[in-house]
Amino acid sequence: MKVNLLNCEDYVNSDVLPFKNDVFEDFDLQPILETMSKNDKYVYQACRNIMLSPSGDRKNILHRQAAIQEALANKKHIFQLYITISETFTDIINQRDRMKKESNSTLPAVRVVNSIDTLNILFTGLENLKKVIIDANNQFEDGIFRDFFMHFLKEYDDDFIAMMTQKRDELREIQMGGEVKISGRIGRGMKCDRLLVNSITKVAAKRKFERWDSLFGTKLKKNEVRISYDNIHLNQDCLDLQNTALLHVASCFEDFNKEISKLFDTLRAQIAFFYGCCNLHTHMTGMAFRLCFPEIEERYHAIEADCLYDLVLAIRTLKRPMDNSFKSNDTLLYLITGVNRGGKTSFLRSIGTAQIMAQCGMFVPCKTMKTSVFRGIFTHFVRNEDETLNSGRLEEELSRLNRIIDTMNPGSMIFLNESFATTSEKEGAAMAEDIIRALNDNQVTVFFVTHIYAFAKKAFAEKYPRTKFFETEQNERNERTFRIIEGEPTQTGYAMELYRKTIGIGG
Amino acid sequence: MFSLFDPEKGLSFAEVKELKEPACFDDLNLPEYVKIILEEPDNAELRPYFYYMPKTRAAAEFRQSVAKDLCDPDIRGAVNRFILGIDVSRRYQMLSEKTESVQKWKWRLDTIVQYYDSIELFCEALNSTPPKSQALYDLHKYLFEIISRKDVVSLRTQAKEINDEFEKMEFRITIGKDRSCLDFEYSDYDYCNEIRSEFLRNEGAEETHSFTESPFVDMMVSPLEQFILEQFMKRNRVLFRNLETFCGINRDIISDDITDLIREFKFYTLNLDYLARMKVKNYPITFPKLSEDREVYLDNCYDIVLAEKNSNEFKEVVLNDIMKTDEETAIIVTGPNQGGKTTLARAFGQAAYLTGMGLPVGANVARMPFFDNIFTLFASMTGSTVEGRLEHELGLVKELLGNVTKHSLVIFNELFTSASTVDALSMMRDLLSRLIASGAVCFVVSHTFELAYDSDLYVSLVATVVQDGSFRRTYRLIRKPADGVAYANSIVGKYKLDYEHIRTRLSNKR
Repeated sequence: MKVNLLNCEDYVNSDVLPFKNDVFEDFDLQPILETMSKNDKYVYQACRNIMLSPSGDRKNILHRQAAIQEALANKKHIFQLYITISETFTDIINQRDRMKKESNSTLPAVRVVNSIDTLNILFTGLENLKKVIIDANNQFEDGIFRDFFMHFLKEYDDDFIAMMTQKRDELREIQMGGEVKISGRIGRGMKCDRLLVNSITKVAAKRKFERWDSLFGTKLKKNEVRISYDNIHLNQDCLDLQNTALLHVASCFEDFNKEISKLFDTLRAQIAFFYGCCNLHTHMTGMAFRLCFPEIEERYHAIEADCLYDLVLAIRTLKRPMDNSFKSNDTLLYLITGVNRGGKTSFLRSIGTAQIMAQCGMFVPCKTMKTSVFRGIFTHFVRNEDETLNSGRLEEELSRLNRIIDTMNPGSMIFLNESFATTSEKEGAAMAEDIIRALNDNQVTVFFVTHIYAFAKKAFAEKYPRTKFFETEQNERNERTFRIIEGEPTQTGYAMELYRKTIGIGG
Repeated sequence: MFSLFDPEKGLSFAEVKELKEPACFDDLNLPEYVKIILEEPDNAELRPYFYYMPKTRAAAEFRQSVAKDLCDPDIRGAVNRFILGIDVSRRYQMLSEKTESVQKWKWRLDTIVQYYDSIELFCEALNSTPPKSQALYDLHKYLFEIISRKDVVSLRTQAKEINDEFEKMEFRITIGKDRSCLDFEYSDYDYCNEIRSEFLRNEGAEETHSFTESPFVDMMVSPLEQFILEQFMKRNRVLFRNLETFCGINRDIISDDITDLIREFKFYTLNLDYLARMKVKNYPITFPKLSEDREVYLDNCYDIVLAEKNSNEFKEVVLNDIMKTDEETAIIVTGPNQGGKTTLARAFGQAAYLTGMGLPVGANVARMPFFDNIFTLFASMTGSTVEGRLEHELGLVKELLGNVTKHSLVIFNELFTSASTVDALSMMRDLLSRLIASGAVCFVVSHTFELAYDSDLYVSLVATVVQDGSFRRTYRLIRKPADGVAYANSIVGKYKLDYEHIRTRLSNKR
């Protein structure tokens, strides 16, 4: 059974974030996931997987937005669903562990019993889930969740449950002394081949007389040859064959077990994400921070936001950070300069995070937001982790950019943070100009935080097309406000200091 | 004897087994390459084929044409099925030798059926996908002649008749707690399908679900199987007698030629599969064009053994170009230690080796001459004293000079390091002039720059370092002497990150 809560039925995933770990680090998404998961490791991982796979398809994003809105309106039921599925899951895992421990027991009987046990757990799980779903079904408005509930209740109706019970009991009775019929052929090298279980039948209770009969062989039909139990080896062979047949039948149930486990698996992952969204929503609105669902535009490379704040900073500081607003006129280059620690990286992060959340169908941290679907989201932040390899910096940086361009498509967006700063300003400026112009010419939207004043000044003087200039705001006392405003790039004199700090030699 | 290695009479497996590992193997790290390819213990016997270097240019071309045919998915599929089919028939033959009485005869019958069926299937496949190479074309003819022979046709007809009778032997066993019996009312009703169709609701027709895990896994018949067979024997004495007579006469069905052929196919497919895997890992792999003259053109080549090792450690490998025209006589590689010179020498030697074996090489584009032999002399620590080492090296040089021909490749790596620089230079100059006179292609890794300036016909490759004072190695070897190329620009160039390149890279994806 397909679970289409997260995605439309026909959704094909395109890789919007090919460099998941880089983006995760650069945008510092961990606090968001921690808030979503409330210390549940599974929820954390599920939300991480989903948040790092934003959708590149507008229709799917709208589907997801609708589903999340439904979930937010029924937080209690989402919680119930998640708990119920998790419980079943714990039972399944425990059973699996137990089976693994017993796996050195090759006794077919044990393995058959295990199969039946697993079936039982899944029964209970299904029944419990059914209860919760019937309950929720009455509360949700018509929509994505309701469709799923109806589908589920139809798929696992009472008839199905009854049939399951019957088959399970049949299998159980075989162990009590039923009969197995197996057909086969003579194969290669005179070995028995293509063995097939024809039937497993319960033998009626009037055993005593038949046993008497069989001992004397009077009950044999025409063409029937009795296999004597006097021969120990022959006897053992028959027993082995019967056991393998039973195991074989049990393995058919294993297929079924797998199917149901898989259903629980997918459902759990999807519900976990909705549960995470509910948690985040509760947490943020509880502190009276504004959240909204963004408008997803049909046109390309448009992005604008009103009162956008840095969600991660808000979670970390529990205070509402300075917010920024910006508009786009078909802009392809957002050039951000200004004093150090003036809120530039935070600005990049707030946009990037909001864009990822938007393409995940989630709410975003601002008053309003309108944005296009970008085909790819990339980050290229300067790395400080490897201090010893100073001389390799530029190489490392450019090889990273090289990999990005390998995977990038036109219509993507990239966040450059202090790129090309590991060489001289002149070289850096030339490189930046070349690379950014090439990116823009291929409809790649670029957010560039830079200290390369030579480049920023030139871009401003030459009135680069489709470019907006931002800088850090300072008040009349020359103090940082941590706000980013539109304005002409100014030289900060910070570049030299940065070169010396990062490269260790005069830049 | 049919060979996939030589257009003339090739070596049989027995002869190949006598071949010694070529002297260049260790220096070129080829034993590592062989080890990776022959990882499966079953394939260990193929090792000597790696030593089967071609004697003529025609042989190298012949091999490459076979390898190219094997890259066609249809032909490759047919070859895989052929290998599998013959392997199975060989296993049956082995079982017939190990088992007794009635089972022995049946295994033999199965061998006959399987063996000729495999050959026939392969011929049919080659009919519908004609190979391009002369080798496979001839092989097709050769195999077709085998199965068209009158004696083979009649043998197969008889075998099939008997086998059909055995195919009809069907039985049913009922096993209960108190009573078990056997009858012959075979039923193909599948209880498992009943369960699966109800539970999984798979509407599509399921194939019957017969079980593989039976108590009958041993190749000998079990007591129950014996019991069943006895019932059939009682009912069909004539058939069993016919089987015994027929198989008693026809023994040793599988010819050594076919067994050798399978080994040769395995050699090709294992190598090609490995190199294809490198391609999947984004290492360039290409069939070299055999140049008419002594031109070498290796665009973006690398050491395949190092690449495999690095890819396991998630490290990249640096790609380099090695190019020389027909007139140019030697390639002189200089530059700092640990700059990738030895790796480049290996990459070149490996490419020459693989070209000879008819296999693709690790490069983007490749044109290579035919080499009748690859001579390598890598600086070694053999010889306990300095004098001893030089003496050892000179001994090897002398031997080499006696064997080198105008079609040879000679690779020197840091020779004469134990002599003084002046002496080493003059020795090297003398040695090079002799080798060039003989017409061999020379690839010399040297620590003396001067050598590179001796002749306009020398190609000079230089291992480069980062121009920021750190002397970090780039493992890039660039043609022409080091001349202070700006470091940044060279990296931009290396990653193709200038305006035009980015533009084309991105717009190609639209």
